[in-house]
Amino acid sequence: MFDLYSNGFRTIIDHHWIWLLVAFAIGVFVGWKTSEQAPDINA
Amino acid sequence: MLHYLVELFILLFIAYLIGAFLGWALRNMFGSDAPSAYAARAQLADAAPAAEPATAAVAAPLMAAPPAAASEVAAPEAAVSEAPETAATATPGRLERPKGIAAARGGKADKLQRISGIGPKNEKILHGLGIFHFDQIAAWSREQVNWVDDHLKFNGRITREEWIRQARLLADGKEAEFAKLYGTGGMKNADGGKVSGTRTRKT
Repeated sequence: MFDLYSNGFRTIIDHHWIWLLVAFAIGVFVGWKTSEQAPDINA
Repeated sequence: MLHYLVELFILLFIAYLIGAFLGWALRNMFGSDAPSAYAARAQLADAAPAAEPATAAVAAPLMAAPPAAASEVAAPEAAVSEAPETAATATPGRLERPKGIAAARGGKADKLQRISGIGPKNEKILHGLGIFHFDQIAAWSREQVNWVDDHLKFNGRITREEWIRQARLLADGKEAEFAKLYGTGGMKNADGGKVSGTRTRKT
């Protein structure tokens, strides 16, 4: 199992937080767009 | 190193999932007023069809901030400034999805791109909605036009570009009249250029 408090995770958060932010932003965008549901044809 | 990369991707994925959930939740909580804002604009267009520029001016802030629209647009005439209040309470019942068909009749769809305003992308979307023929578009009711306009996020383009009139002419085979009013429509002629008609919208 991965340990959230291991050096690896800490290093990632410290050095790659910008990419985490980018992934988060992409997720928000995708989540926003996917909730826009068009009704079925002939619904 | 591999361990580090795996951890990185796991964290990225978790961040993405959290974001996706948040985006989805936000859209469901705050994005649901978009259709009513559209319906409000449709109502405005009904209320003051003659004052189109004023209506457009009202519609723009209305789309951005529906609740504040009524107070911000106090300047126009009384007839127009009254409209946002009725529009704000309008239900999105004025949108009606046009009935589509599963496939083009006879396996051959009309070239919808002949209609000025329909490009390859919109033609594809219309096919996806089950719209393959000019007569289908010509038969759209106002509510159905509103629905498609809203679905394609056209902001009134279907009406402005007179899709219904174009489709009716093409469905009836009135090529000469179509050419006079809309030129080559959305298509290019043999020379690779477009010819405007008397009703073609200048952009």
